[in-house]
Amino acid sequence: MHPIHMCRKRCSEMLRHFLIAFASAVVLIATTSAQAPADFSGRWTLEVPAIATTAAVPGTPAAAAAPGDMGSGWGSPMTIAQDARTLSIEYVFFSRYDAMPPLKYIFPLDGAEGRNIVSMGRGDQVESSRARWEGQALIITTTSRVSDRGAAKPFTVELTRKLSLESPSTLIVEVTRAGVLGGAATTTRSVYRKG
Amino acid sequence: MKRFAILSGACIVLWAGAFISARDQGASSARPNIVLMFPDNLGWGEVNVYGGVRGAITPRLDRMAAEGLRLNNFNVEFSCTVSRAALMTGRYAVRTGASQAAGMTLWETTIAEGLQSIGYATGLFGKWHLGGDRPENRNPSQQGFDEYYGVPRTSNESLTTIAQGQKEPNTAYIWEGSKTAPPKNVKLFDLDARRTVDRESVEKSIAFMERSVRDKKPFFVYYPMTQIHFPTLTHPDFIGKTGAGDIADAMAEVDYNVGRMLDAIDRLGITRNTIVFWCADNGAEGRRPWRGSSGPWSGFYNSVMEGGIRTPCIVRWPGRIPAGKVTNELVHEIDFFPTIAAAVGADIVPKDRAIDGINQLPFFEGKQAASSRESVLLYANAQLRAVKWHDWKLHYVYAPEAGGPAMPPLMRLFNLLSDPKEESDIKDANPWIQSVTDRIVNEFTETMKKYPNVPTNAPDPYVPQKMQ
Repeated sequence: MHPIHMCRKRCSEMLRHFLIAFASAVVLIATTSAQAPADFSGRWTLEVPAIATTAAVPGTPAAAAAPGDMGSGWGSPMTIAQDARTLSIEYVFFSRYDAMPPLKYIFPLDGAEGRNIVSMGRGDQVESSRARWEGQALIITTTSRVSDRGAAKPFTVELTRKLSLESPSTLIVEVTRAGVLGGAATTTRSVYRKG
Repeated sequence: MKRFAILSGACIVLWAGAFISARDQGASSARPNIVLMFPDNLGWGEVNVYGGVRGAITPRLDRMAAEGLRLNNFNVEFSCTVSRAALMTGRYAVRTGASQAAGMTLWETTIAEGLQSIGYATGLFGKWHLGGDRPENRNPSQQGFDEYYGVPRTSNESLTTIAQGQKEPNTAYIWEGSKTAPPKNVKLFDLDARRTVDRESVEKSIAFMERSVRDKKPFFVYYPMTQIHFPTLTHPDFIGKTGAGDIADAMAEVDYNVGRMLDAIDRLGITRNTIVFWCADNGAEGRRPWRGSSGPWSGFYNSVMEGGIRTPCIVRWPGRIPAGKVTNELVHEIDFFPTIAAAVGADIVPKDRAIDGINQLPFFEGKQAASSRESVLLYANAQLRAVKWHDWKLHYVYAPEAGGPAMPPLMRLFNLLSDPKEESDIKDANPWIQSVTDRIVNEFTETMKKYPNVPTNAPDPYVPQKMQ
């Protein structure tokens, strides 16, 4: 084969390889960019629906008559701080008179188990949590053990929270509380606005 | 020898016959008498043995508690009429459709009807308040009482002498009646009559017990006291008696009347064969100037805060219920009907409807350590407000003030041991509780499919809807 022909062929292959590599890099960067974690940082205030004035339905949970629910479990307003390694949530629970610091929960974002201890006057309640990303949503699963004289033996309770940004200024926290002691699971959707 | 054998055999037959006869008579006479004293709007903080706040003014109740069982977690409905409906029927009042204006349909079966059906003499002396605006059409004799005397509706009518549902003065009366005589008005229910009606009722109760003992009939005396409901005006003998105000004076009168009843039971020689219940219809009176004391609890009657639905309750049955026992286990007034049925050994609780009461006799007698009840549903008329499960209380609609608005957040969780005043909402740390309380509500709701609630204001004769 003529050397010039050989050069053209090699150059062509090299160009093709280069283009393939370049395209792959573009796709990889684009993909990586799309999976970048959402940033929930900020101060968030719960959007509280007005209390319904419609008559109660006898014998049904009052949720049927009024929009009461168990909420996100994180109060309002709450402040979220987030970096590559952790997400923390802080909110005021006690009054100024109580002289207690705000409640603060820290969740590792590297898949490791995090532990938060809650003290509500009934001893230390240890909550173990793991967080994972599901697209742009953050799923936090929390478990804790409950000993109560109403139950024959201690039992485990599980709470799954899904955080997602409906818009840069709207945070949705969906909470699913697993059923215990023969009861069914319940789910709550809380809407927070930034600010 | 043969003659001796025949004689011996005859003696054995006669002895056996006499034994069986005596045993039957004994079984009949062994059925315990039931005395149910039911004061009005009496809060936890009014009774010394419950940590009363007005001085040592309840010695007889304190002694009764020492002789019997003191319930520290006794639950009732949140208001007068619905509480009486629940007490009498063993059903949450929401099932009965009972209301102050309409009363309770005659279709409901009361403790009195159950006991009357097995030969008990039954009498009501005091406040009825289950007959609505036309109590003559839903009077105690139509609900199992052989005779009655007292207030058809409620005590505050004495302030104006205007009966509920009327507009003109001088329409509120003290009444009386029996199963052989329709109700008749005895005298105007004015402030003078308000002061004396409890004394008259205790004397009629005692006379009724004396007659029943003389007639060798087991009896059920229901003595729904009108004290310490507003206007809290006592018998003239008790005006200024304690030096601690009208409520304290009224409480001293309640204690005195309890003592009169207990003394009569002793004098009649029926102490060991008489179960005595003493408990209040709902929580503390809240209307000034006669604002009562809820003791350690928050709220007043007409709310489902503990101060509205948790009242003192003492049960005495010497020889059967251990003396001096104190418990924090859940018990509800609806448990009385099945408990009394078990105590009298008769199947008198109706089976054609939902019964929410649970037989607590084994618990009362100390044969089981824990109450048979694990939860309580708390309604404000037709609205479910809260559920208690053991020491937990989840408000679905938090409305702490009597007749006041719901306050967000509507759902609030309290542990009544660590937070008896229901002040610190801890649902964030214990969200699992909703699974438990929703189950309890859903199970209750399921029973309504088979046994639909009696609609409020349902006329008589009431015919239940077709069951599914």
